[in-house]
Amino acid sequence: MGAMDINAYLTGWQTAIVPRILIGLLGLLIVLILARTIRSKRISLVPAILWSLAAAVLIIFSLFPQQLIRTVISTEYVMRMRIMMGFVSLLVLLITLESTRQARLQERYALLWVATALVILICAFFPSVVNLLRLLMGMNYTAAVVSVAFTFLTLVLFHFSISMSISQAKQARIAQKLALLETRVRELEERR
Amino acid sequence: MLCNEPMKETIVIVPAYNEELNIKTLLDEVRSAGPDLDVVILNDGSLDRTAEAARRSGAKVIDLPCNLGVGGAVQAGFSYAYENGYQYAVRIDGDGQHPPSEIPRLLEAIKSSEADLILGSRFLGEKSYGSTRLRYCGIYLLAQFLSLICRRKVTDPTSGFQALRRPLMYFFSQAYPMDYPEPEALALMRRQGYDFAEVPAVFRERQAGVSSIQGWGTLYYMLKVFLALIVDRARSVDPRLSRQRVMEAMQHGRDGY
Repeated sequence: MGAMDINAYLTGWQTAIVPRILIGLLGLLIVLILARTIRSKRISLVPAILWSLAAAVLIIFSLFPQQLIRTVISTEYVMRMRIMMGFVSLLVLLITLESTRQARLQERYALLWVATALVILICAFFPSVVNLLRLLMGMNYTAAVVSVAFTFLTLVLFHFSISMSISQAKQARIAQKLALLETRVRELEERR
Repeated sequence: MLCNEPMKETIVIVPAYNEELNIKTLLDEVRSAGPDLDVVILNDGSLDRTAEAARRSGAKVIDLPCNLGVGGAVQAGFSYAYENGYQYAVRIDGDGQHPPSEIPRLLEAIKSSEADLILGSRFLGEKSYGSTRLRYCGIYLLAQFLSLICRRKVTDPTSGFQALRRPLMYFFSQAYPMDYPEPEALALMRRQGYDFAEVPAVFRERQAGVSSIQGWGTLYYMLKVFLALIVDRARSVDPRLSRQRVMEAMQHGRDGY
């Protein structure tokens, strides 16, 4: 997008009153619901922070769309990418830890997710760690980080395939045992 | 697994999935082939009333709570046969492909031979069964490969018409492949030191319903089975399940066998 296009685009946002009001209302709605859920203590800390962040972004954008977009695009491209990846990895990390804490996710599965998130986080804080990959493969920073993350995600998926196969085998044995026991109970009842 | 029943002679294991229409005829045929044969139907999570139909005809039915595939069902049957102290088990399919009138021949063969398993082959002796050409080619290739790795002649590797002895029942109750199990089971048992032999058997067209392996399924079947056979070669033998160990344990009447 050229400079002219961006200016036209931003001026368009300045005059688009109805969409801005709608976006602002959406932000306020989130704040409202969040306030109620927090008061009734039905939400834990991490999602509360994330939702309030989303609401804040929506409200600020509805008030000052031009200024917000300008501030964002005035930063360096790599910096923007680093911040985004930092956010994504923090998100993955927080969700994983929260799920583990609530005992919905077993630690051994959480481990690979945590590793994935940490690798992305390290790449976001220290961009130089992917320099070798960038040099060898001729990638830019984003592609290098994405390919590292992709490798880890593939590992996670493979891990899932293995544990699925194992639990299917176990499930079959349990089903067999159950059916045999049921037959035995039936036999004993008939004999009585 | 303790065997807490007195030793019994022979059981017929019939895996059945949605065979409501075939099962009564089959059971009647089994009864007329061998009046003193016990029969157990493995109802593999059928959606129709297979279990009721079988119970009404006086067979024992093991109801698997969900569909495990033919391997899982047959394995449950071997466990049942082993736990209830049977000396011999005959396995026939619930779709009527394997004529029960051939059961005595199979039993005679296993009692008179040293083999742990007798395989009823439709390709030994006179030709009895019309099969599609693609399927026949697949079976032929598989038979050659299996004969090679088992060092025994196999002509009908996919046959589920089998009679087996007690030690092999124990082995199969511990290790049996889940889907399309027959060729892989032969390779597995050979690797653990068990032996098998083939006898000719006359097969029929299935009576009702459709085969689970058709068209592209044939290719998938071949790929899956060949992969499984090759992968099994790369696994190590489990000495706890070897023929020698199981036979010794059975002779000493040790618990757990």
